[in-house]
Amino acid sequence: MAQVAERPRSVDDPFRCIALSGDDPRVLDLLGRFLRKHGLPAETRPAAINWFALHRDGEIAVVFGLGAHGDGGIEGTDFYAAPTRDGVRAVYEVLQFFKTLLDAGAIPYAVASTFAKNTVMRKRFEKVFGMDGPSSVVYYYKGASHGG
Amino acid sequence: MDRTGLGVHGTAQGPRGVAQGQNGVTQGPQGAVRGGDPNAVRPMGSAPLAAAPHPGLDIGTLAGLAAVLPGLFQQAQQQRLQGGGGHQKPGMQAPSIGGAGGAPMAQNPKQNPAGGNRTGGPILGPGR
Repeated sequence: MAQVAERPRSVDDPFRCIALSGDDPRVLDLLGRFLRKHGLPAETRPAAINWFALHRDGEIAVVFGLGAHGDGGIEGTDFYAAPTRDGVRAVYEVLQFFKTLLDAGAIPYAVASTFAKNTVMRKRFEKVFGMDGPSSVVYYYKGASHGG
Repeated sequence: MDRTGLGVHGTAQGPRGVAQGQNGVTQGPQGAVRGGDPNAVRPMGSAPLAAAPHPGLDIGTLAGLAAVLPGLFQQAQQQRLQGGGGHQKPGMQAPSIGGAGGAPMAQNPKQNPAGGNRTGGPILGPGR
């Protein structure tokens, strides 16, 4: 009985999108990696958002969190890419996907945020959406008992 | 004579002052209208909840977002694989959801002559 040889995975293979729960180990893995990298406390995980992932053959390339505004707008709150080339590609796939939705009028607007010092992600936003610099700045402060 | 002349001047200036006051009153409502301008710039995250209905996706809830997004992403991927290109072209319709089959998208590359020869490859080229 002949077996079909399994084709090796290619960078041309499309990503698949799946919905995840916020406590999914795949989310927590990439989220924890990001928080440790930037020295952020683990309890900064946002609540009440939806989590998604792009993967190829089950290998997660990026997890991202989205919130829905009451008027149809979407807020991208979290992007945690795997430390691979696929991870970088997947982040651009997500951003390009939302640009397509916005340009087609499928969603009225989108808001995304990143840390001011995360210049890599800021450049990705600027590259995909053609925006020159951030449109707002958020200050994050937890109180003196937490070291500011 | 001198005192009479001053009096005339003073009387004449009085009505001007009243007239200017009326102008000030009529400007009040204009200021109020400007304060309610729905197009005013809003800080991030403060979008009004009761905005006009949008003709696009009905994803105003978290559950709706989770339900439609994976399928919508697959539609966009297939569209790119079929030569639609990664950029929005004139005449391309928004991917629809929830309906039977959805609205047709621009699948014929001839309709998008500027679509190039992208075949769904990565947005970034090798080496980035």
